[in-house]
Amino acid sequence: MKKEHSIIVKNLTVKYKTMKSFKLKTNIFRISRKREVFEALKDINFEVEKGSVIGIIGQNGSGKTTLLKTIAGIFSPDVGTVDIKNNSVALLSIGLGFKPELSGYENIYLSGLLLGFSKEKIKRKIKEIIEFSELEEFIYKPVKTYSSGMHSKLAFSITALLDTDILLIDEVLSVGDVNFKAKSYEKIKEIIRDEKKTVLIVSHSMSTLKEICTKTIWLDKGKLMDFGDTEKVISKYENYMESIKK
Amino acid sequence: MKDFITKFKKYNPFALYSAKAELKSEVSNSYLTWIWWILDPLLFMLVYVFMVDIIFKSNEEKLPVFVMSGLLLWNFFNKNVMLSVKIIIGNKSIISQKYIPKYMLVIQKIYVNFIKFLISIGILIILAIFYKVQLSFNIIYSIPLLILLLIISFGISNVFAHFGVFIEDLANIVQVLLRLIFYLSGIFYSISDKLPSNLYNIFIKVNPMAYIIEDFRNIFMYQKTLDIKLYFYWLFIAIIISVLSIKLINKHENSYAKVM
Repeated sequence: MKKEHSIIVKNLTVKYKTMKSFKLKTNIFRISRKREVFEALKDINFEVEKGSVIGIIGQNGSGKTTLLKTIAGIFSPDVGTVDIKNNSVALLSIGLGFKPELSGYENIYLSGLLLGFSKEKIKRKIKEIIEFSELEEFIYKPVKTYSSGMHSKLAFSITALLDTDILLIDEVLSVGDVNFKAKSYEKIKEIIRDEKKTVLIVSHSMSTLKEICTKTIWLDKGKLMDFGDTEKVISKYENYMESIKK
Repeated sequence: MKDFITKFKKYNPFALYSAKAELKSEVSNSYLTWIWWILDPLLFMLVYVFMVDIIFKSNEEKLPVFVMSGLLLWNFFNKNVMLSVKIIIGNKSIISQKYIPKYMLVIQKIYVNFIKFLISIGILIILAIFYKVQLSFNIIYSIPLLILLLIISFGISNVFAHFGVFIEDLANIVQVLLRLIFYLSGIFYSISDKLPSNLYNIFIKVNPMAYIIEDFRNIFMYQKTLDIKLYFYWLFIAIIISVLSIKLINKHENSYAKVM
């Protein structure tokens, strides 16, 4: 039987172009501005089966974060399509994503509502989220007063405890202190065991990827170098990195 | 249009909750904030009354009510447009992490300003009773007028929200523009009395605020009804601007996150 796909990416190209903001003051007399085009992703094709866990590797600037943001709907494709089949999707990455002047408690609601959950559903989950985040009374303080560790703990707790069909994780497997790290790692594993959920993980930790990912995508300078069995892709990647070291 | 309604339904709870939380945090940040929501329009009203009464020797009766009614409509419009210029950059942290239709950010700010606006309406009514303005059932006509104000604020704010992302110094330009419109909207003088009629006819057709303020006063202070022809003229324009601005944002919104 053919397995159901939850993400289909076709001929995906994402460009950063001419999109620099400018001042009228300095540009009013300059008729043509120099247009720089930079392709962050070039003609990417892949399909992800429902319930699978996919790792994404590549050097800095190879387009990993751009890929996640495009799947999350934050960027739109310049060419090609990303089809997530009406699945709900959440992106989990370091920091940000909150209204700094509002309390953590209010931000849980805001994030949840933005992810498409109803107020009632968030209400049911909120106790669990606060408990998991270990923020205790800080949850009622404005987010701008949080340390970066607290920030990440809150972000992780919200995204991990509200169930979205697709979870995109951007290098946040090392959030918070030692205890929280272990706890969040356990939580991720629990999510991964759920066969309905699709997870994409960007990480530089090869051992983590080998442990939890069934397949891995290797991106280099915006191109899809390889997509397949984690062990094989990682060994190819490591060989390649070794070869360009000199 | 259908797309707008589904998105609106989906993200409106966010806008409402966010507006509520914002107002709450404004109040709890300092004890005096909510007093300022009342004092601010009142004090400005006094400044204009002083200026108009002493310097220009106005013959307007019930001047405080006259000025206040213009001023609060203007303040609502002004705040929405002014805040919209930086609204997308101001919400950078959310936009770079989650998808939200960007005009919902404008709507969220409109909710916040609308609550403050309702408070100043309360002040206006107290002032009106104090100065013995004859209030009549014609006040009901102010409801369609306020709906027009909402739609036109939404449309124009959307346009500036879009260009505000790309043009860094747009705020300065918008400020000057708004100041100009402020003086041309008849907030502390009556454009129908002070302007020659041919000029008046042009004013009222190019400046929505001039029309809204004029008609609001007619309804509120002089027991008249809406100028139906002009009303539908402006409603039509407001809807066109809104629809076009939504299209503009839909087309470009996913590149906003790349600019920042």
